[in-house]
Amino acid sequence: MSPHDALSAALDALLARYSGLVRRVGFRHGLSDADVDEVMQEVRLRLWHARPESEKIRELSSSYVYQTASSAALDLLRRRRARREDSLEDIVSDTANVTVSEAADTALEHSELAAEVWRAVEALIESRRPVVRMYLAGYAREEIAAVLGWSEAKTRNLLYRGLADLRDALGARGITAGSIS
Amino acid sequence: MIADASLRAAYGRALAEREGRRADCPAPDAIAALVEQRGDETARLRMLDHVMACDRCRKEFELLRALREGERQSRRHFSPAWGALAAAIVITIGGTLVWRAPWRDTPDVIRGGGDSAPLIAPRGDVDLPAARAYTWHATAGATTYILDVTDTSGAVRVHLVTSDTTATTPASLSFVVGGAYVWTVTATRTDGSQTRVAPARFVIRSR
Repeated sequence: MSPHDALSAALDALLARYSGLVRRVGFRHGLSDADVDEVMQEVRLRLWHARPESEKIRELSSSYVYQTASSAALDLLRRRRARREDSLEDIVSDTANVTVSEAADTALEHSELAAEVWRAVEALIESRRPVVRMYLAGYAREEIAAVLGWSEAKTRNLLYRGLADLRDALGARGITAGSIS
Repeated sequence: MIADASLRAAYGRALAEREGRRADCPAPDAIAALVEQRGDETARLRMLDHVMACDRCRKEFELLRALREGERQSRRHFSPAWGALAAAIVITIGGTLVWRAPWRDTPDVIRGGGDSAPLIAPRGDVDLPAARAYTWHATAGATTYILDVTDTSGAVRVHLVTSDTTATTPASLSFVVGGAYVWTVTATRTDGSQTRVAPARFVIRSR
């Protein structure tokens, strides 16, 4: 195997497993394969340009690869913002997409309810609001705890109190289980 | 009691209907700080509150979070023995790793985010002959250019250095009809500084 092929194979092995894990994590919240591909291609180029020996590539730690990937992702996001384009928007699936066939009056009703929920969330106390937002955006309690570095108990406590406040606020506006489903 | 699923659906709808105001959004680095739990908790909660109320920022957050979580899961698969070995490697060749880092091993590379489409062709759907001929705008002060073409698996298909702003790949290099490719150019100046321009994509169309 030539040094060129050995380096290419070492990069393949290094990035294949990591990108697989990233895809699995991101898939649940709509991260597109195209975004992961773009970042991984940049990581690959950066490592390629460094021209290390293939043996050194194999020794690189996961945190080293992460630092390279994070830096590549930040460059990607800056470029997108600079060009005022947001291709993520076109690619990421959105669980809240309005069904095209939805009747206009039903759509309006749903839209008004959504606006009420939004306003009720905005009115939550500051310490609970971000946790409730993250949960309503589709994240699991464990994911919220991991992002904030909180214990499971603390996360559950703040989330349940926040959700209870939200239901109370909606109830005060006459919105109950029967009106939102 | 209103079900969690109903609340989530209503919130998701409201989020999708809101028009993002990019001027109010935090910089990508600030979102990265949230993902990496840097900074005090009050600031991070405020950041999270914005990110979860802004569809654009949430998608950026998700990309950075997935990279971070992928690394965590990757580390979890390390056995204690491997961890000890890795620590030994770091201690032994820590200095070596520093100079091996891409950003230390090569001259500083500035990503050309502000350039206006410096890569001219190929772009979009192209035929095979067009996929072999590359043209880009000159970068001020550049003496050489490095052309890199990768396929969708990330494999580097072309890596060549030229002093011109055009390059032709060897006829022996094959492209797959229907295959997608990404290419970029890194401009090198006399002082050794480099600028890598934003990549372009092309797909080989069938005849």
